[in-house]
Amino acid sequence: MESKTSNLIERYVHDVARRLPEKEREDVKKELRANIYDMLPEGAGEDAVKKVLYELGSPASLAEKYRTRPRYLISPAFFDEYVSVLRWILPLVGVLVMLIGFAVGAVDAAKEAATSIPFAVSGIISKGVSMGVSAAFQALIWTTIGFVIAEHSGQKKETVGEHGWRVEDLPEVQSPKASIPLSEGIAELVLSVVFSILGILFCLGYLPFMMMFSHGGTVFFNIFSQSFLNTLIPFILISLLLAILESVAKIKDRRWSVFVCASSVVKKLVDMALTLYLINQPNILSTEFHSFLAETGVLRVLPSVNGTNVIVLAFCVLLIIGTLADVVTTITKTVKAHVR
Amino acid sequence: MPENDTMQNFLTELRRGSLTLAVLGSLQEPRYGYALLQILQEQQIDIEANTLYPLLRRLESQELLTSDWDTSESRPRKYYTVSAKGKGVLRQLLSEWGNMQRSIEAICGKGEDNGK
Repeated sequence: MESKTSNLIERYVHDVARRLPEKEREDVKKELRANIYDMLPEGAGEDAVKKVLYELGSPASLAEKYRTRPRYLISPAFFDEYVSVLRWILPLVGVLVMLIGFAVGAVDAAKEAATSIPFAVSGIISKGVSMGVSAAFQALIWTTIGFVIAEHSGQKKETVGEHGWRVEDLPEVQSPKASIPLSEGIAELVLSVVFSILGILFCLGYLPFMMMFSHGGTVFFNIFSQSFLNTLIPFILISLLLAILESVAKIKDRRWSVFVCASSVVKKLVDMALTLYLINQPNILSTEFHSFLAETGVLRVLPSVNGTNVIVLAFCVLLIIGTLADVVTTITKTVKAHVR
Repeated sequence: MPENDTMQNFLTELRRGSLTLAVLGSLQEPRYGYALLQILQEQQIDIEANTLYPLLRRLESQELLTSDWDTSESRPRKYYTVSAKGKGVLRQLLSEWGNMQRSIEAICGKGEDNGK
């Protein structure tokens, strides 16, 4: 009996102490053990021990009381926003990627010319669900990382002036247009990571994305050539890096600061340059798709200017105009935010 | 129920600071945790073990209490006494307590005419 009660007490004391800073553990254990034995009558049984332990409360709550300051990954100040962002971003990413997964599953099934319909359907569903779930997990992780950055960048304890802060440093009251909602930066972070990963998986051939054409029976083509897809991966990574930088800037500053503006402009210009370079590569399309286009006569209909396809040319011009307009808007927003 | 909870929160908040006062005040002579708990409860101070023990530890780390392990008995006990620093703090807190009581009474009237 004695050993059973002392075992319960030891387990309780350990469970409290393990939640505390290491250098306090031994002291707390010793104190707590002594206090518990004091609260018990001589030769107390298991029931008396249980009663005392319940009176002290759960180990987690008692440890919380021993801790001088509460610790948070995401503090109450941010928690509501964290939950409300998760509430829309998880379903959005999950469902979107699940639909992509359905498409991939369907292509797989059709390619293997699956004879039994139930087999094909179950393949499609499992592909969609598994991709959707893992994308939702990715979104959860990246949203959390975004909020942890916001939480801990806000905790810088700089002291300036004789009062520790200065009235002059108070930020201007911002019109809603000048500020960036926290959810925007976090949503961008999550979406760029999730879709870059999908993009890279696609390039590596893990997502057999093809197009189906009925051309005297159904045929499948890889639209893009593998050599082009291989060159694409570093470009996606560069773009992802800049996107992460931009969203981190937005999460930290939450207004159109110079840092946010610069990171956004750099990202837009680099993206434009990368896209222009890529689209002018000679071997974008797979040979099979290219010959299919040639066969059906699509290529012949389109006129070329100096050997460049007119569609590519138009796309380049639109891209440049669009990007420049975007850059100008970004800079205007920032200037407006700084000039009252 | 929620109304009760709110009331409980008010009371807890109001009492929080006074617990330090009660603990420092009753440790003029050395006492161990559980004995102190019983004394406080006898005096109608609403405090529980899981509040008192962490509070003792905090006051000790702030050097308002000194402690000694008594190992002469069958089980070791930690005895706490208020330190010189603790006595100073207690004096200041008590005078503030008096000031506050006077201010509150001046604002709200004496206890009796206030209970409606």
